[in-house]
Amino acid sequence: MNTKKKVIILVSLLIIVSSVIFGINYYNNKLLVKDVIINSTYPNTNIKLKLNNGHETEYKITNNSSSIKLQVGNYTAFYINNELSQNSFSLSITKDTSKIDLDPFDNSNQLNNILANENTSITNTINSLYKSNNYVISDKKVYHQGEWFSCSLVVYQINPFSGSGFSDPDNYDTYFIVLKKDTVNNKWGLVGGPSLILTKTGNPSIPNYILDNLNPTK
Amino acid sequence: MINRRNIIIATILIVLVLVGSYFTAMFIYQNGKSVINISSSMPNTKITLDGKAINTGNIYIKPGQYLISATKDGYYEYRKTIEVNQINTNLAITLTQKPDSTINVSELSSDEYNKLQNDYPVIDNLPYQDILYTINYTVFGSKVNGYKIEFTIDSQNATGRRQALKQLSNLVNNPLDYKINFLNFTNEVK
Repeated sequence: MNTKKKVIILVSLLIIVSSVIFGINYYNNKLLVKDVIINSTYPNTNIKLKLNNGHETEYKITNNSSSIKLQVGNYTAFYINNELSQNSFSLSITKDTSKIDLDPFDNSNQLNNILANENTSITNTINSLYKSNNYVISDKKVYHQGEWFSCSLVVYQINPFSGSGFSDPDNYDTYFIVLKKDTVNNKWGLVGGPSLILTKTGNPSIPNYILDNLNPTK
Repeated sequence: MINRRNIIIATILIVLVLVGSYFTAMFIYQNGKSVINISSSMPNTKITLDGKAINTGNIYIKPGQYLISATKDGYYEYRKTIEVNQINTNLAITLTQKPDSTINVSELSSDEYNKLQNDYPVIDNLPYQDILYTINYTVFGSKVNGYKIEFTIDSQNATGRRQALKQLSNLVNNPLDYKINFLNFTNEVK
């Protein structure tokens, strides 16, 4: 066998070996189907996942966790439960993805229903915290899956000179409070305020979207 | 002509061998190991895995029990024993800052004050005085953790406090990112 033939055989072998290695890595990175554990804070979440190539599939996450086979890639996702907000969001599955945590938000109709059902319990909690009668509860709102609540307490005083009360803006401050429902005993408890402003630095346990909603400087 | 062809073939061979070696090494290195993705809430955190220094990102390790430790000046040490199994896991390290104390601005060196001024350009506009209120600031922190500011709002009545908060949003991008202390004010519902 002459030198030229040897070189051709050697190069061919190297090309084959390299191609196989490239192929394995390409499969691992691009075509791999992964068993991904999907956890959701909402029980029995139904989710629609659309791969960027257009393939769309619906999945049901039983109770709060399911293992689902997903192809590596970028997905557009949205929830299809009637109670949940259906805004789409992005999901990226890589060869290293083993777990995805979902945290759906209830839609406004569902949150309004929860607020109507919880209103008495929430009002009783606030009244038990603040015995004084000189405040008005307003701007009640629940968030996420109904476990967060915020409102403002407009606290007024009677001006000893003019006799004016709530009608005089100099006589009342607006305080903000945030309550959270305990998942164990289902009771509402104070987690923020009462304060004229609930800052992010002073209230790290409260989600920013709630604090932004209560921002009095807006 | 032959020499030129040999050089091209040799170059192709070297490239192929290098690429092949890289992927083969990666394949061998990752084989039988689990991936643990480590992230930290703070940059420049010193992280060790069973005493060996590691970086944030994907770490390939054999299944077993490991001690993760993370340290950073001004923060409490983070220690956690993790059980690594065949399932890839994420570990988010959250460091807790040691408490800071309020200090007098005059105690700062010129370099420290210049840094504070650079971090909080708003202090050049303070105190901000209105007929109904005054907005000023105090400094808290330490040499290690750096210095931050807390706004003070001094007003005798509710209208002044409301207007001061509105004015604060003109002075900084988002007042919620700061500590705010109200002077001459009693919280009526505490």
